[in-house]
Amino acid sequence: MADGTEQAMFLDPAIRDWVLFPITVIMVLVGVFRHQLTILMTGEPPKPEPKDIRQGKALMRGQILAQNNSYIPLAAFAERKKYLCAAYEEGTYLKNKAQKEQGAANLMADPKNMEVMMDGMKKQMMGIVPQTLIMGWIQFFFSGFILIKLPFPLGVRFKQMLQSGIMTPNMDVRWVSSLSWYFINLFGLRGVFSLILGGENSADGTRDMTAMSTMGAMGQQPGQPQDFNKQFLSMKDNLSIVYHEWDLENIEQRVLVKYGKQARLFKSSRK
Amino acid sequence: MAASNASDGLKTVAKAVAVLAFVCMLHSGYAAREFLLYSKSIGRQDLTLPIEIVLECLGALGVMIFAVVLGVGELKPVSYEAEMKRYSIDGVFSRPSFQVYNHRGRYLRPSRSAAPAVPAAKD
Amino acid sequence: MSSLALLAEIRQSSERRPYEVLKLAEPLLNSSNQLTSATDDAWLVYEQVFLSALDEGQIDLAKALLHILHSRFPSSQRVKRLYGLVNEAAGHPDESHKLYSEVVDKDPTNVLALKRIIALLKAEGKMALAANELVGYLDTHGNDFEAWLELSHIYLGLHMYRQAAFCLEEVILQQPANHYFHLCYAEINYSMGLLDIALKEYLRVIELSTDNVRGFYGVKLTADRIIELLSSSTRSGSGGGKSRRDAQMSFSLDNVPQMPVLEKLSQLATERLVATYSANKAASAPTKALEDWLKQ
Repeated sequence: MADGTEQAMFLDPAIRDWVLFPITVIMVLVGVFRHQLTILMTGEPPKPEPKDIRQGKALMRGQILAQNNSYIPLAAFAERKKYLCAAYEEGTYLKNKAQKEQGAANLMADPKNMEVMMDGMKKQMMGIVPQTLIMGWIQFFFSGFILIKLPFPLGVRFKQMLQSGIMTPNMDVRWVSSLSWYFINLFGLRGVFSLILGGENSADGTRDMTAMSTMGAMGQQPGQPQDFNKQFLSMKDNLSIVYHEWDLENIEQRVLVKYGKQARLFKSSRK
Repeated sequence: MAASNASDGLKTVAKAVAVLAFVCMLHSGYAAREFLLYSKSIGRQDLTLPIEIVLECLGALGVMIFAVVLGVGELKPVSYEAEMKRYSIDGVFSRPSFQVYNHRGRYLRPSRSAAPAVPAAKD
Repeated sequence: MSSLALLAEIRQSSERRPYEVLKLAEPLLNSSNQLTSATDDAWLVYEQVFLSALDEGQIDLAKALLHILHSRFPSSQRVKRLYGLVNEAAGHPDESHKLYSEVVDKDPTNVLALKRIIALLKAEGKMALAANELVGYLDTHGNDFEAWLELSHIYLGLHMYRQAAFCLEEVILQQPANHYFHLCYAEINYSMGLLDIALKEYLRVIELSTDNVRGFYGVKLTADRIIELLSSSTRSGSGGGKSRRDAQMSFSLDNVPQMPVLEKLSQLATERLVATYSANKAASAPTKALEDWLKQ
């Protein structure tokens, strides 16, 4: 190397053979195992009933109306708005209309919702448990190990990322500690998994990590049942404040401009 | 762009040029690093890169962008109208899920049917 | 282009061109190795040729293809539906109905079978009943634009223009930039006598699709008609004696564009139509179609 400040330090090849490779191999194997286990445990997703579909599609209709309202004439829009708002208010499209008043407490009552939630929990547990175990194993046996030297130089900012678990302020950043190697594998093996298991695999542990960290904040996990009554009511509010302006109000001018019969005007040509 | 009628030969040349430009970019990066290490080791303080390295990098980048665009194949028109040209009114209004099959079709060409031979079932 | 690519193009356009499909597929089916090597697409091609065979009334070919499909996907609902289609084409709608009902009983969310039951009503000519069923279907599947389109056409057949327009509004909400839907909507409004909306929608068509002939015809018709109405209403004066025309009109003349704008639009339509026809040499197109057909 050009500069003489190279730290003379050599790693025992046994570390490579008995620590570096095993960690990587075990993480890959655990990922594959997790994937297979997920396939085994999650059977068919529960079939939605027509009423579920109806509920979702009704909400979607409101969304589309709020989004594209400017493409239909005012009368058509007003008619739909009136109808949908009334329907949302009364819960016409709700799956179990009778329980509307009882609010969110009855979410648990529906056995299917319960099932969906259990499924989500199971999946998350399956993600968290093996990762915790591996991390504990590494910390117990190999804490403070240095496993590998990266073949390229890096800035000091990477120190925290590459040398977690060892307190050596002056060591070259290129040396990677065992715990950091674990994290690099955790986030870096995604590509490997998608190669050996296909794109939609459940071997990747990072998704559960993000799920774990957002669980408290969001209060609502993906896969958890939603309270449609609440959504309907908020959609009603959304719709009722939509200001309708027909897109074709000044279409004559636009067409004349497009075909070169009139100079371009500003949008003020509306009556 | 010229790419719309670019022949295959032009495309290959463009791809080769792109690869060459990429190598040049790598080379300029390597040269910059070597230069920095060298000037550090002889104790120079002003660390401005020589102009030829910067020029090589920027020039290679420009050439690469151009070559990649040329080599990527036919460019499609971006407007929605051009996209809609692909659809005909018959296709848009055909509603395949609701087609009925008890129509007069079987009497239209009874004699000169375009009947392919019935294929044997393969398992 | 290879015949496989042509078949794929027809398939994606969802146009109904059974004769061409059969002709294109003939060499493919006869040399058995060509279709098997086409991997994923092969099964789509089989289905496509199957449907075309039904359209051409070649039930035997359809049955043979169905056998192949069935041996590949024995438990597929999609293939099961094809059995119903064979029965429909062979003239046993009752059996088809039984099959579809079974599928729906087992899985009430099977959209394809639900739609076929409605199509069966249509095939029997019970349009009003089909419309009723479709309304029920759309109550659940409110974002199925194909069904809205179908309902709109059934209503058109029943001369229920107001309802047909409603359905097309739903379709436009879902695909606001597709000029074919605006065109259809404009024509329905024209049929209802709502010339102000029709004119605007026709203008939307020619805005979205440059030199759309059908759109320009619409602009020409509506603009001229509104000009006529406007001039007759001014001629009859503002006195109490309103002309009979005003009473017939289902829209208000206050919402239409100014007279000079209308005249400009009418002129533009004439100009573009003449230009389009002289540029495309469309006059020779029918002759060419005839020649093509004779040479077949």
